[in-house]
Amino acid sequence: MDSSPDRDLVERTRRGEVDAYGELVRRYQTSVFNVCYRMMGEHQEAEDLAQDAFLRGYRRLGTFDAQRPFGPWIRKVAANLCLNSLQKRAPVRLTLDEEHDDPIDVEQPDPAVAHERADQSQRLRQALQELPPHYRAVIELRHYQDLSYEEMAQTLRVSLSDVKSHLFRARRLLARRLGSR
Amino acid sequence: MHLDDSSLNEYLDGRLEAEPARQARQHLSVCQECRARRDRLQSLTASLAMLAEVPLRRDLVRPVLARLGPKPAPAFLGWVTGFEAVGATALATYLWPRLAEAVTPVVNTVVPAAATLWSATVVSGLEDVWAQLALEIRSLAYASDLWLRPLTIGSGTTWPLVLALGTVAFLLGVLGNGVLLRSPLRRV
Repeated sequence: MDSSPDRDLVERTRRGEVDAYGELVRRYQTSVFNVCYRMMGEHQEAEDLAQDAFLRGYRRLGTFDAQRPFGPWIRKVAANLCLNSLQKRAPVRLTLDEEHDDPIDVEQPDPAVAHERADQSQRLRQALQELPPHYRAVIELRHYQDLSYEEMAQTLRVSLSDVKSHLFRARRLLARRLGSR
Repeated sequence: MHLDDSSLNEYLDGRLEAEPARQARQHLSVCQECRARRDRLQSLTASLAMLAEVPLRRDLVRPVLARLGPKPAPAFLGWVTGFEAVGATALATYLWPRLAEAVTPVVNTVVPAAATLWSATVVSGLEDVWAQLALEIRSLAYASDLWLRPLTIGSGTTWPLVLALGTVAFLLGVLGNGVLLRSPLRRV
């Protein structure tokens, strides 16, 4: 195991030391895989996309600013890759009821069910899978990668207003779906 | 009037300016419905944060490295290759006509000797081929002198510089093909 800082590993990879990149993969494979798993919802597909994300990261390493942390960058690469993959699939259709802009229901979910964490995680993953690709992407970037609205717009190459509308609608849909189960 | 979705979300994300944030806070303190919406969003955020990471079933390091392929050769290898080409050309241009000229007396001895062993037709054919080859060699030798004239040093001697060029080209060739171009994947 190599204890060098990420920055050194990036520089060594740029000089042709592939095993340095192997160390970066080892460090970030679980978090990158989890980005893919949250967005794709299927283990094998998430593993494949995590591999693709590291390959894309390797090829784009020339554009990466080594002064910045590697983890958030490679996770953004993974999120974008998953979004592209989701967009190639059949579109997720929302019912009219789900898409309109009414405020969130004020009813509280059943407290007994809400406190079963495993079940809640399962339901949450299921609810995430039912979101349209862009909604899933903004939830991933905002809640798991802690990106600002501006950073999300830049990462997803959409306008700031699109980011806001996708994020607010995604949250509303998630809250509604979690509340109704 | 209630907080709209945009204001509520931006308030929770800490994006509102001081004054709109103060107004939102004030409204939330008096509006039960908006508080419930805020609580619902905060509960969602907490649920998302609690979603546990899933462990990988297999290590991704090897499959990723196996798919990387060799790294593109560094740019300076282009210069190495260019220098190799120049050195090799200089060496070949200088040496080939001279080697051929050195071989000429040998051939002139061998061909008449061969005449005693082979038929006259075969020998005559060989002589024709050799005559043609000798002509080509002479023209190459002339061209060689012409091309190498810029490399001439001192009293008109060319060979030290050509030899140096050729040696450097050879060493670069060994280095370039042996060490610098070695696939980094083999080291993993």
